[in-house]
Amino acid sequence: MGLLGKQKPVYVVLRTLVALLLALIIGGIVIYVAEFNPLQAYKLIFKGAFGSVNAILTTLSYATPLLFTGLAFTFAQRGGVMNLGTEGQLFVGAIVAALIGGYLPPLPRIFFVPLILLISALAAGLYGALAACLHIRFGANLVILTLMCNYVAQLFCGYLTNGPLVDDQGIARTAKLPPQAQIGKLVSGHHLSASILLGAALVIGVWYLLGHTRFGYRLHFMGTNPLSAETAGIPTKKLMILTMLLSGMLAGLCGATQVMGVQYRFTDGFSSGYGFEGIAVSALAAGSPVMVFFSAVLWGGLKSGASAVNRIAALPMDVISIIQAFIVIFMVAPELMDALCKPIAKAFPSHKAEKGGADE
Amino acid sequence: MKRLLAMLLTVAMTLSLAACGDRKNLEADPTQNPGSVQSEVPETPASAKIGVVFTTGGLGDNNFNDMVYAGLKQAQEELGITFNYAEPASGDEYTSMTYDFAQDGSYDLIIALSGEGATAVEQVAEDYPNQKFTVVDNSVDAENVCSIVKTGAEQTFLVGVMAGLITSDSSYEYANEQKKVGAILGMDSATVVSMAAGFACGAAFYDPEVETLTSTVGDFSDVNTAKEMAASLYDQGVDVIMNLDGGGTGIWAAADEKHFYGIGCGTNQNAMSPYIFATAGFVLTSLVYEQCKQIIDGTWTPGVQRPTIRDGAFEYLLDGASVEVSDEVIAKVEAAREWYENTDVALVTTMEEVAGWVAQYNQAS
Repeated sequence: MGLLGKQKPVYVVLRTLVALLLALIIGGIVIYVAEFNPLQAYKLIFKGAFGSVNAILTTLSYATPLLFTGLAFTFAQRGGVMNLGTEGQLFVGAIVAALIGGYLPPLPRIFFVPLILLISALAAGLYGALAACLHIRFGANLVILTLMCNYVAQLFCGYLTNGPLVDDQGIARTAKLPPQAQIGKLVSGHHLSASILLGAALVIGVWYLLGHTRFGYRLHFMGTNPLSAETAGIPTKKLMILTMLLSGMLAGLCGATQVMGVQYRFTDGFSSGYGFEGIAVSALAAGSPVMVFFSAVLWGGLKSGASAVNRIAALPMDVISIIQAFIVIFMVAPELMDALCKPIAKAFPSHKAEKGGADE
Repeated sequence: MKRLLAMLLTVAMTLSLAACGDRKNLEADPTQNPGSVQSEVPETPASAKIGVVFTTGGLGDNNFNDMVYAGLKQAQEELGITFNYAEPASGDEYTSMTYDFAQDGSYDLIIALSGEGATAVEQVAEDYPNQKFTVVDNSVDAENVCSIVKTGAEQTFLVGVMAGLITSDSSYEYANEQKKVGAILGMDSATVVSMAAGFACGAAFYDPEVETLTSTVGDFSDVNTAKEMAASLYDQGVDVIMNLDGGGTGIWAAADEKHFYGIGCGTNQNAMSPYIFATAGFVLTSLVYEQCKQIIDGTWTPGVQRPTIRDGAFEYLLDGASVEVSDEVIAKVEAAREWYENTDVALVTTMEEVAGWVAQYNQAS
């Protein structure tokens, strides 16, 4: 079931805007308490996120990993599977990419990059599928399983980089990827990695798969009513394993593309929690793969805008985390939002424009 | 609900009106001199603009980042530099934020810290060959990068001498008759091991019989294991323990129970426990200040710097300690420093080499 039920799309957009507005108001209070001028801060954040070509490219670079993890969570959720293990799966993808790329003899780039992406995605997918198998075979709770798998993957990668693979300066990182294993920059003069193209392609791919294929229909069926899906002859267990495999692959691609496109190494602590941020991005997108793109860009924009303000004016980054948290809180409480939107919804056409304008 | 919404909006509007009054101005002349803190400083023609990317630990760590910040602050007040900083939350962000500074193009120097910084600069420096970078703690081999690499052994040598003297000095309440000192290592990494080796060299400097026992926790945040290891060292006859475990919380907890002396490390940790008599300090603050000065003077040069005791980069810090170190001990430590500064002896960086070093250079009378 989507987070917002079966409402009209316009209403859903309106509700999202109200949630954003409320979060910004609360964030404004926080900024005010931190002794900054909220309106000025928002203006600077907006300028820092979307104010110039470079700013937009930086925003997209923050959004790139969230595209993958947001899609991974959205995909699994469509089938009613709570994949809270995206963080661990992306670590698996990242370390596998770093190991193949950094330690094996390189092939020509045109084969090597896709090959590494494929293998690391598969490894991460299998790691996700493992949790689903344990759930089906032994009845372990999938939420707990996937969460625990995060620790296993993260700590094992930490052991590898701090132990056997530590470099001669004592830095916890793997060997640098040769140029053949690097995903290039999208444009010259900016650090945005070309992996955003893969992310955008996957948005379209997942949208098509979920909305326009038999597989997508079955997944939706299983997500809405697993018992009747089973009665109707859908092999739900197999489908669940497949879902976790694909969701894990999407998450794994996040790790692999970050390693191959940003730092060119696996470093202990490369991720700022992309997996969990992906859940928030997915919640903001209300379960729609296309909306994942926009919500990832919004999320990335908040981060890049805040980092620009942090750089020039020492506004603490934590303020942005608070705003982000409130956006999600308002988004995942549809009934609260319904109640808040009721008066606006009544006088629908005339007030809508005003809302949209007030949002900035 | 309608009322709630109305109320929220009113609050927001009131706040935004009020906000225009006394809040910090975030947009103080954004084209010329961005930032609110910096704008108050009068710009001199020779002044420089520095960008710094802190580690993911961030400001307020009472250690590494804060020392760098203090150095920049000092340079801002005395040299009139301006500086902006970024606080990344992950390794990826570290790279992005370093790129952001380099892309801006207006910074005379970009300072990056630790392994995260080295990883980022290694890549960014290649893409921006005309931008100057300084990396602290690790080294990057490039034409436009200056690396300040700490030699751990230099930092702990002098407090090692102090520990070696105190362990066999019966005028100290908790010193036992056994000539054993110890060190707790947070991690088995090159820098930390080197610090333990420098400490061991120092401890045996005046008396080769002083033995240094070490234990490695394996995790800087594992307080309980550190505490048990400290207690176990004490049970083996150790009466002075050197903290090479970050904050050293576990060691200080063990000192409360077992009563032995402690030595802090890095920033002044003397106030962290009543059993500490000194901290092995690293003057990162003045090194950062020096970098800013060199940028202004035009004397900044790329390459690897390895600061030593001889440059005054490492100091033992006594202020704020509850245990007072006697003048005799300090006189002998100073004598050791003088000996070291007047020779070109290098300290060893692994525990295996300590015995050989001590056999060759000890000053037993």
